[in-house]
Amino acid sequence: MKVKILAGSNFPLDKKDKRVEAGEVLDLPDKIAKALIKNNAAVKFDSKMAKEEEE
Amino acid sequence: MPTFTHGKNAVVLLDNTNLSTTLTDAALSLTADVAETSTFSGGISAGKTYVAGLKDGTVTLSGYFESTDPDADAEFLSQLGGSGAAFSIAPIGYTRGNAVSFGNTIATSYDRSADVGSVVAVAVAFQFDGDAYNGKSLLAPTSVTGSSNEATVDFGAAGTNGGAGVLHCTVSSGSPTLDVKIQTSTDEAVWSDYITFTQATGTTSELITSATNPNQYARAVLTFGGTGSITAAVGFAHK
Repeated sequence: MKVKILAGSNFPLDKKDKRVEAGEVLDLPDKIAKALIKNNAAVKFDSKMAKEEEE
Repeated sequence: MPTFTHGKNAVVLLDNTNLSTTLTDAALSLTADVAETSTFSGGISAGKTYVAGLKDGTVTLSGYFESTDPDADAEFLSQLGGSGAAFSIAPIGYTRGNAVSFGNTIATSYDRSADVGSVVAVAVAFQFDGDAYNGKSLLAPTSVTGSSNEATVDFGAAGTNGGAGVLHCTVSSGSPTLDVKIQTSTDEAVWSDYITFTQATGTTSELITSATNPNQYARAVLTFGGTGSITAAVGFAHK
């Protein structure tokens, strides 16, 4: 799932501690993306947001 | 069965000073105003009625006069007439997960007393300026020499009214830098930054509040740089 990070976060990915920063747009495994959204640390990155970023 | 705890392990931190080795008594008093709403013909209630108002808090400390290690005397004097400083009290000790109350306090009195038959004593009183936060320790006063993700503390449920964190750095040697963050999580696996303190390069203290609702689990994340060490303690509360 593609998400936009709202708050710097850490999570395990490929057996390593992955760090992401606010503002990054990433394609993450659904389980991690959903946990970030639940943490209020990310939002689902949809086509509308992509269009807004392009503008 | 209740588990009672002896008061001998209480920890009191004021600004950048650990006062625990100089104090013998510490009392935290939290109060809330009430306004009466009783009226004529109050219905079936025969008693007075009230609504809750503003919360308030005070702290009183007493112990022995000390002006060297730590220089509690200088700390108390600097707080009198000041704009306030971060204060924390952990009545059963600052071990991770233990109860900690903290806030910004202003000193309202400082008494020194000498008696021909006993140790020079002190008594000091503080007024909370704003909220008093009641949470848990994320890091006991610890000499930090490296980076770490500290162990998780479970707050039982997510916060619903924001949160607050406090950092006290009480001893520094060498030329260290310490970046401290509080992260929260819903699952103890994916952690998100909640509070980021200003980088410490020596003794300092800081209290930060956030209106965002914190998740159920919290931990302190320490990033150490430079040389030497910094003794740091971290508390965190849901509002």
